[in-house]
Amino acid sequence: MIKVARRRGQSMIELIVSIAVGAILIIGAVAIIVPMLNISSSVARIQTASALGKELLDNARVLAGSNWHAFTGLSTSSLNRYYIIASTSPFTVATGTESVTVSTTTYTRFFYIDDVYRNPSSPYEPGGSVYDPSTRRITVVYSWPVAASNTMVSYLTRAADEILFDTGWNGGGNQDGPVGATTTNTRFASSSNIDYTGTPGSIVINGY
Amino acid sequence: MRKILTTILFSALAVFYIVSVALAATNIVADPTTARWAWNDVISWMDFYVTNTVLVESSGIQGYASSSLGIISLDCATTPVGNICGTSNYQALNDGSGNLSGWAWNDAVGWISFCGGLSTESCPGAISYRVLVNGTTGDFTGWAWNDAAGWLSFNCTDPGLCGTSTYKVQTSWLATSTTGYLDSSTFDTGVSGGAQINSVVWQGSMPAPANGAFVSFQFAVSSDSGGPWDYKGPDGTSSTYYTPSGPNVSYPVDYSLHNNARYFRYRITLSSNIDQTSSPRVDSVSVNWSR
Repeated sequence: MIKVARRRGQSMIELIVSIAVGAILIIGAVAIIVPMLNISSSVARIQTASALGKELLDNARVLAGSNWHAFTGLSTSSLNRYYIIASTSPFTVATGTESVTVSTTTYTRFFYIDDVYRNPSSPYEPGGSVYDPSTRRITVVYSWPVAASNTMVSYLTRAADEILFDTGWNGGGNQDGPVGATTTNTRFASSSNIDYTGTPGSIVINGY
Repeated sequence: MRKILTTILFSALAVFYIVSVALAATNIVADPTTARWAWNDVISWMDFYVTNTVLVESSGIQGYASSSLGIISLDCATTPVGNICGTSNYQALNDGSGNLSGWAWNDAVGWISFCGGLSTESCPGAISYRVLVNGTTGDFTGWAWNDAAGWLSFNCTDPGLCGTSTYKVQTSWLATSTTGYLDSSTFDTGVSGGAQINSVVWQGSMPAPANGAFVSFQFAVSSDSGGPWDYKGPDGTSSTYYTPSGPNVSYPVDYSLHNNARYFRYRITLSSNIDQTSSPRVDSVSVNWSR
């Protein structure tokens, strides 16, 4: 009678080989996944920081649109840092750098402004010698730990326009005012050699 | 006694001289050697200054000149004997640019015509001639005509005699526009930090052709509703104006000159054409400003 030996489980060598292969696979996967996770995290920080920078720029635009004078008194050059306090109404400008924590990352942002000089021969192009009191160059700077600062550059303009409409002068003179500068008006302060009655609402030189 | 009478006489003469100078009506240049004389071969020299009555205006010439043949009356309303227009209605006319026409009168030679060639009452016939007044210098040039005496010269340049005989008639009248202006009420922007004037536009009409007519603006700003109101143009002085090329043309205003003051006024100035015959008509004014 022949006895056949029964195999009970895998051999030690097979086990070791399996473990080694598994370890290699795991290490390879980690080597691939971890950088990807790091990249994803950096992209998220970049996106967040960029969004915070853009938010500051947008807030500055809103403030310039509603109250240009909030910017007229600010000192120019990159040495003077400001940020917008948007938690109050209306917005206000504060001095310094703002820190904003999103998740576990703390971001910083601020802006500075510069005067704008235009070219008289091409008045819509900055870079000339004529000071334009109605435009400011704004540079928003934003950053987060272990990252270099990034900037956004744009221009703020005094764009809240109104219209005075003097529709005629047949109401006569001697109205020194003041009267509202957004309402229609039909009177005036004084005149010399002007006929304001011949054609009601219009003026011409006397005698014509 | 004689001394007293002499003193009184000289005083009276001095007063007469001062009064006559003060009341001088002429605007002919007084230069005794060149700038008051016209010439005709028959009449000889004609002095346009000495009578102190010749007044060149945009519509015509008043008064009378002196000559060896008696006075040359340039206007029936201002003759030495008063207004005779009811008897004979004439005048040397000015179209406002210095182009003369019409008639003068001399008792010795009769009518003197200042213009010919247009077949009109004031510029008759087909032969072209005319007396002109340079609107910039006031110098007379050209020729007048008299049937008895022939051509009358008002400037030695026309016959080419300057140097040999230098003469001309010159007036201080210049062909310029008449103007009028209106100062607006004070406007309150309501912006405590001050507003900025951006641009101005007017609606209405210009003479056609404009011929020198224009509408212009100046602005005055203040942080006080009571002023002061210093009207300024684009160079920051009262000597310059913002002048749109016509109605409905928006004209930019210098930001830096009219900036950050709560109150403002504008001054609109209307200037006629240089003929002084037509005025711009302004119906409304719009001023664009920023808070």
